[in-house]
Amino acid sequence: MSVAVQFENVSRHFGDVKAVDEVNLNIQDGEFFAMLGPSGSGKTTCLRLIAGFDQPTEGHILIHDVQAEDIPPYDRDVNTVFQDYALFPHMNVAENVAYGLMVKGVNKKQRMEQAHSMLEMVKLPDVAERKPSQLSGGQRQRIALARALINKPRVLLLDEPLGALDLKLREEMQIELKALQRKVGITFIFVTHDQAEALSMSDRVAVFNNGKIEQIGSPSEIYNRPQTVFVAGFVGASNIITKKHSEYVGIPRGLYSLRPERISLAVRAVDTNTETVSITGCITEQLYHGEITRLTVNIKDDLNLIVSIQNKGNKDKSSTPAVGNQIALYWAKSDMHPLTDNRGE
Amino acid sequence: MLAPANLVSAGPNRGVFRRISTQLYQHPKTFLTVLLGPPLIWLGVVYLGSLLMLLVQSFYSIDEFSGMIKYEFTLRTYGELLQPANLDIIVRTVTMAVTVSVFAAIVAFPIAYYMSRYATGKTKALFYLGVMLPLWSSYLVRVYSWKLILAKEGALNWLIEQVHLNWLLDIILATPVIGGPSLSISYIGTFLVFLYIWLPFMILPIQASLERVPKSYLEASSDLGAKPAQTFRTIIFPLALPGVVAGSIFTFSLTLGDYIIPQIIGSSRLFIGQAVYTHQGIAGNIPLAAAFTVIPIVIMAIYLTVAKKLGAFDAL
Repeated sequence: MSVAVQFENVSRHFGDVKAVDEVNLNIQDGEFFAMLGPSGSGKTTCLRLIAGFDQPTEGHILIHDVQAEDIPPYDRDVNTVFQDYALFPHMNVAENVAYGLMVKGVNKKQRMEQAHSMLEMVKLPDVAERKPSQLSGGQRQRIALARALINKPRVLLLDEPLGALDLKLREEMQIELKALQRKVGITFIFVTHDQAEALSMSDRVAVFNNGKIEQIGSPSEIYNRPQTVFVAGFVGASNIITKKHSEYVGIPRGLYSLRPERISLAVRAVDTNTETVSITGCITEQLYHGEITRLTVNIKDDLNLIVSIQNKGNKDKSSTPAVGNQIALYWAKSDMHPLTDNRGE
Repeated sequence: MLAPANLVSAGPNRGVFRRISTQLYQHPKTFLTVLLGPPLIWLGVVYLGSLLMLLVQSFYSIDEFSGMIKYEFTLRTYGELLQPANLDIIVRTVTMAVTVSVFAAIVAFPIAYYMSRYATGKTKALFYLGVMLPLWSSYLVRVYSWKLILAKEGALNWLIEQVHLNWLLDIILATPVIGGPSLSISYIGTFLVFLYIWLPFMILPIQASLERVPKSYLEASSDLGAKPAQTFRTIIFPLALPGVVAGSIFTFSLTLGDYIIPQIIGSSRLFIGQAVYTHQGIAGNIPLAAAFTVIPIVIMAIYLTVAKKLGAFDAL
């Protein structure tokens, strides 16, 4: 597999702000790659650097092994789906979709035929004559996709494409986008701040924070083996066990992450041994989430553990332990993952 | 059924303004009437009414013998417009208005583009000030200062002599029709002053329409393979066109109606505004003056219809 996009020590500074700070990255050809991070973490700037709307202050970007800095956006084999879709309001849907072909000088008949087949691909064959303002958010999103794909780019960039859609539509589009990527077989680079979206859709995820990449890996690696405190906290819920806390729990001093669903409840405490950790605490909070119930259990001082329990069988809320009860918890030592903390403890 | 009444805290300590506010809140139509009534009356009676009167006047004629207005509907006055001398005035004025509008758009666009896309903070404020500042001073003062600039002994001539370009000016002034003895006594001079005076009215609408074009449209166009010139032709210009049309409505109609600039600067041939001024004042021929005034209105109506047909307002 060849490399589609490569970042070599790329930085982008805006005055004193390091929007992107010495990022190294290899995105494989044909990969569904997610850039995940909170707002202002540098993920969108990275996307704009690939598209060519912005230039790196330092470092190099290679797109299919060609150094990209001197190539203007219109000569890059890369297309973008914008966050606001950026559909041209004075053109109808077909003209919007055919725009990439029009500026290349493809004749009208041919480009309209291709535009219509693109519209069929995104399952909107009947809106060709409408203006973008007459479409719903979900429809605009599909048109933006069709428009970006008509030039048959080797890399498609998606800037928070589902951010403006409501939950139900978002879930539908996630499945469709994934299927579309499989069908066209090109590299999708996807920027999102929604960790669930990044995990469910992508082959690999890069977690951004403060202009740097904290961790790159497959969704399961990111979720199950977070390397930093930030990743453990940002991707899914996590219990962070600090060096001080590790003594309470009776494990070697260190910084650990422990997922709430890895902790099990027991009626009474069992002994901590080489494989499992066992401890008792008091339930201070109980939140019902439908499929799970989340308990906050105070162990000692400021050590609180979040425990999620599946609501299987027990339809009645009363069967889950109530606030104020003493409870015993246990988990496998192998479920605790040592973290590095680049901000110190 | 006590609850609704108790919702509003009735009592003597509620102020009169608060009660009025509540009344208006509960009766939005009354509120709208109060708000819109006076301006609508002004617009309807004073503005449209007088326009209608004007239209009616243009269908009267003047008795050549007595010089009195004959209050009978006739198209004779409009027929008078077609006399060579009057037709000349109309063609001259319309040509000038078109030229001024076209050049104003050409000059204004880059300035408006820079103001809306690149200028920020202080630079932007400076540009606004630069565009608006001339409007704060007297129109007459500015026109007379242009007379001084353009005169044979004026500043511009002096500058041209310093750079030894007199020969070029002489060639330009020797051009038939638009030339003349000096810049201040030629159509070129009239054109330059019109262009200067109306330029802000072109810059501001274009700037406003460009301001409304999100950066992402330009990025999307470039991303899809359009070179800068293509982006300008297919995205920026069509989206700015309503602004250009709005600006040209100003420059066009203001030039059509102006009677001071051509009087101070230019050859002494009449423009529509001057014709109206002479006919309704000195000559007392109100019907002909009214008929002259109807021309710009008709031309504007045709212009707007054509602009709409061409899709100038599609991006609104």
